[in-house]
Amino acid sequence: MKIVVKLFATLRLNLKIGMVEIHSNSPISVLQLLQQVSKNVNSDILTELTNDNKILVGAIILIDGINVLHQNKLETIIDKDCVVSVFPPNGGG
Amino acid sequence: MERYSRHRNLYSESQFALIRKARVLVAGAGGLGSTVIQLLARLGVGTIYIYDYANVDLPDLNRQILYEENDIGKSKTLCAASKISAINKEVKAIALPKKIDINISIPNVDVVFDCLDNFEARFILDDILYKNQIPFIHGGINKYYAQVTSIVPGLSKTLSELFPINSNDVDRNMSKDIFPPVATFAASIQVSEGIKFITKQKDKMLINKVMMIDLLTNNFEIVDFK
Repeated sequence: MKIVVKLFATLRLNLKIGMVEIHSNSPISVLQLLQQVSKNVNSDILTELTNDNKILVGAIILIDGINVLHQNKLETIIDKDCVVSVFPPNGGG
Repeated sequence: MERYSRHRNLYSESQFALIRKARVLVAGAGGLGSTVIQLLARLGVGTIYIYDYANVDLPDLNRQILYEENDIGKSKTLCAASKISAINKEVKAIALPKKIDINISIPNVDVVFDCLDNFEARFILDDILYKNQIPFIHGGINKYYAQVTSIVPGLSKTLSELFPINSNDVDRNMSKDIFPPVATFAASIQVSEGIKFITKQKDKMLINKVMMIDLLTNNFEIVDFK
């Protein structure tokens, strides 16, 4: 299974990349996916997206356009090829 | 009509009449709001209500293009209303120098621009507006980045369906760093969205789509959400 993880906003600034590909032989949760991305890029992206294993206000995680907020949040299981878009909070005005 | 001659022909007669009689509310008269207010005034929108409880301070001047050094310490809404009159006397400006809380009353408007700097106030407004079937043009900025999406009742999800509400960490770690051009850029997209709604061009709007703006690498992407 190939999961394309697209990173936006300050994640790009900090990581200097906009996309990571993760390959997995078995279903994984969004939390596990983000942990795997953190390992691959050698930087903990969860600190920009979560607090106490909850998605931070203003952050968005979409699996093929569907917000994990309306699924099982960080425990949403990914079991097929997909694009995961990850947006850290952009809340200023 | 000479005043509007450089954009009047972009619209039909009836569309332009809609712009002229439109009533809008700008929530937040800071980085986004400054540009939104100014563009709306120049476009000739009929009535602009402005909500903001803050006064102008020195760090605002890097991006809040409605204000000058002489305005420091003054109410943003009162300054903004005065600037609107200076730009276009045909536009009615109404200053509402109040904080957005659950007790606020929303005037009868066609569209609201979310130029706020915190999610707590956004969620309050989102709830009130959705119940009243008023569209809400969301903008948010951080460093070199921005996002814009249009919340249209009946056609799109609410803002609180898009973003999680975690009461414990609302607005935690909100950065104050803003690259000034990103504020004017995002605000321009917001105005474009609002005018499309007013002129009945909903099919061209960012409904169930979020535009991600990255001025550091010039990456602009529209992401669909379902």
